[in-house]
Amino acid sequence: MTATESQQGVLKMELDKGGAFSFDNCFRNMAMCRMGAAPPRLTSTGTTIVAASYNGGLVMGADSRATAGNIIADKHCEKVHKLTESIYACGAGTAADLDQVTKMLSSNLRLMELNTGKKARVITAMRQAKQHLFDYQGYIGAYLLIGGVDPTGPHLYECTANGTTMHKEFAAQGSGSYAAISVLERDFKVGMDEAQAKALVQRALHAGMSGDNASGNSLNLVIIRPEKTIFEGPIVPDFCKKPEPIDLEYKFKPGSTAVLKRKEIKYEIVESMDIH
Amino acid sequence: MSIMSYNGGTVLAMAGNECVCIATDLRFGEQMTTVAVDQKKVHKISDKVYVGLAGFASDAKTVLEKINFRKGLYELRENRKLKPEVLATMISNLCYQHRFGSFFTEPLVAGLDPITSKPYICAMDTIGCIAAPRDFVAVGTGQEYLLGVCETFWRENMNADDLFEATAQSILSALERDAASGWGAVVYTITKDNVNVRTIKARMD
Amino acid sequence: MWGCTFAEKNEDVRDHEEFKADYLHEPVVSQFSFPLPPLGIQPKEFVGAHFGKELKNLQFRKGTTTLAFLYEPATPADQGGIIIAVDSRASAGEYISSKSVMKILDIGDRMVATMAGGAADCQFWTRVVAKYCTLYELREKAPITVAAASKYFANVLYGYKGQGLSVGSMVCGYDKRGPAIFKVDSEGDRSSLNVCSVGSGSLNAYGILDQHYKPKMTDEEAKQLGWRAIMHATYRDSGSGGVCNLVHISPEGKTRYPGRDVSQLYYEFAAELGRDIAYDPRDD
Repeated sequence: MTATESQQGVLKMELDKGGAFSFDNCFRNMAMCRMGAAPPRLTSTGTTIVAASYNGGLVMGADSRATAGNIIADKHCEKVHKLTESIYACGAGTAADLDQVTKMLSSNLRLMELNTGKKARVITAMRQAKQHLFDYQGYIGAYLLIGGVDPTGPHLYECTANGTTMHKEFAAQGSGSYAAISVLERDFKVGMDEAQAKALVQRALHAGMSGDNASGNSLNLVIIRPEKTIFEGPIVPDFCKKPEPIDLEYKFKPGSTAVLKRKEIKYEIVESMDIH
Repeated sequence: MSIMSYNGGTVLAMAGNECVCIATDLRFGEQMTTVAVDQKKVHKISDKVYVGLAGFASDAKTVLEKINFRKGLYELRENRKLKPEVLATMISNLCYQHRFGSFFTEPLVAGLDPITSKPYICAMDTIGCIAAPRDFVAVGTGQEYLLGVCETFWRENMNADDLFEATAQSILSALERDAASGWGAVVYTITKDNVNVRTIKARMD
Repeated sequence: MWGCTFAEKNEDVRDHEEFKADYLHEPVVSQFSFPLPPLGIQPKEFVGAHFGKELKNLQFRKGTTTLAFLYEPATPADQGGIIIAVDSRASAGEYISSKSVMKILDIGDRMVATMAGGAADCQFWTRVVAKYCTLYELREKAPITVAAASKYFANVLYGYKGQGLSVGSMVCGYDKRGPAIFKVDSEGDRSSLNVCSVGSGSLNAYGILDQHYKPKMTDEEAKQLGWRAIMHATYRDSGSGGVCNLVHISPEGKTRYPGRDVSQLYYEFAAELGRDIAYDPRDD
């Protein structure tokens, strides 16, 4: 085997898995669990996501809290993912899965747009998502609201982790969806204007954020019109603000920490590589 | 007992004005017994980019080797320096590849952009969900204690000296209450001119 | 007298025999009983299900190093007796729930019990033993022996064997027979020992005790040994830490020494050896 061949072998082994999963550790991890070791907590978005269509467009929104058990893992988590200029997806479920699935969707859709020279359709995004999620039989924990405007008009789809999809006029997902959907069910009307739809989505998000412990901190909104998309956020509702501003400054005097040893690492001055 | 606390250990990173601090404890234990007191969990990846790996030590070592391998290939292929964001995405993809049989380690990335010196910090869960806030991140057995105390000690736009004190005092506070971490701590202060590594005095019990 | 049962009778004319029958009767083993879970649920399983290892904040406090040893005076200037040394950490899993627990509990003027295992179990049953000992002394007009007190303790614990109690105690004291240490645990075990250590860090403490213990020591040597052994145990055992509390029981009485920070003790120890313990940052 020549050097190039073996190099390619290494590359194949480590990098060219084409996005596929590695199951190398599965046996070991199962064995460890059987020995009584508890598996680690994963970050979940524990979310309120809401979307509603109006006359000619679509408003989508999400809160920004990510949780791991009882701790808030991220206070400013971006749950409104851009798929194309006019298609967005809001995600609830396992945070890592959502990041990766939406990343995959956006690159696939962009490649398709470049190949065909046409704007991607919402149904294409939905179909790709459901096919991927169905392939993994619900083990990829991504619950999505995919919405956008394409030449056939505004569309909103709900997509669950096992690949079920539904076309909807308005929808809510995540742990805060019970509070949110009740607001939507009461106030949603066909043929609303943009301001009404935006206010409704915001109200539904507020309900989810105040009623659900795993939702909160701030909200992000995206308004998709046929001609342009507006992103708004983060908006911090009054009930999510810190109750009191901090008056005192907890500042340590230099030297308040006892340093036993120190070492300075200098950077190489000669740059061997080009920096772009 | 969770696998994540079998060996113990905590890593914290804080961002300041054109500087970041990354702190690690030094304990390596086997459940209740302390086996070594010189196990740092922060590793240099390139001049201004450091990675912290808390959790199960044997997986942390495996992941570190995989990170270094990928970083080497990246620099050879692209012929440019690794930005901390790029490293974070790389580690995230590595962890996510093992989505259904994960490594029991939580990576943390802290560094400065090689050109703009913009600070970057982020933490991940075991399957690579990136959380990149602008203030501070923590992973490991002391995470819960750290997140609370850092909310008070972190301030906007700290300089390198203030940032060092805030980071050091935060991790010392967490070590007071976390039995699985401690036995000394090391704080790396990364600025655009140099990296200052300081071993700070911590409790030895 | 308010709310007092002998208000009807004048205390002075109260019959001595009656008083004796009411208050100085033979101490019963224990009148205490736990309310047991219903439907035949076993207490041990119940405790396991509701305060198990997965529940971080509902775990009983545990994790300890305690030690005690007897020694004879090396010089006539020394007193000899018993040294009891303990750490002060209470932990629930990895969480350190307290850094300042007093694990040496008083039983009498010249007797103490140490605390290892479930903190609540130790505190409660030590109180029961202390009450028994006080009543015994009132009745017999002589202090109880360490052997008797520890045997009572062991008998009580044996009565609850298998119900999930967690106690590892050393009953130490000076009585008419001299100094004595009895190790008592919730399995019902009781043994008389000269050198003894209990808790998660006990093996580490034994390491130091076995190396440095001598049957004849000066008081200062003995105290230093106690501090040193606890310090080394807390260094290796993550369940032990805080300060080292030390009690010296001599024929004259009991002396409590103020707690010494074990971390500080470790730095002093390292300085004494001239050992560099600070981690050396390396360029990697």
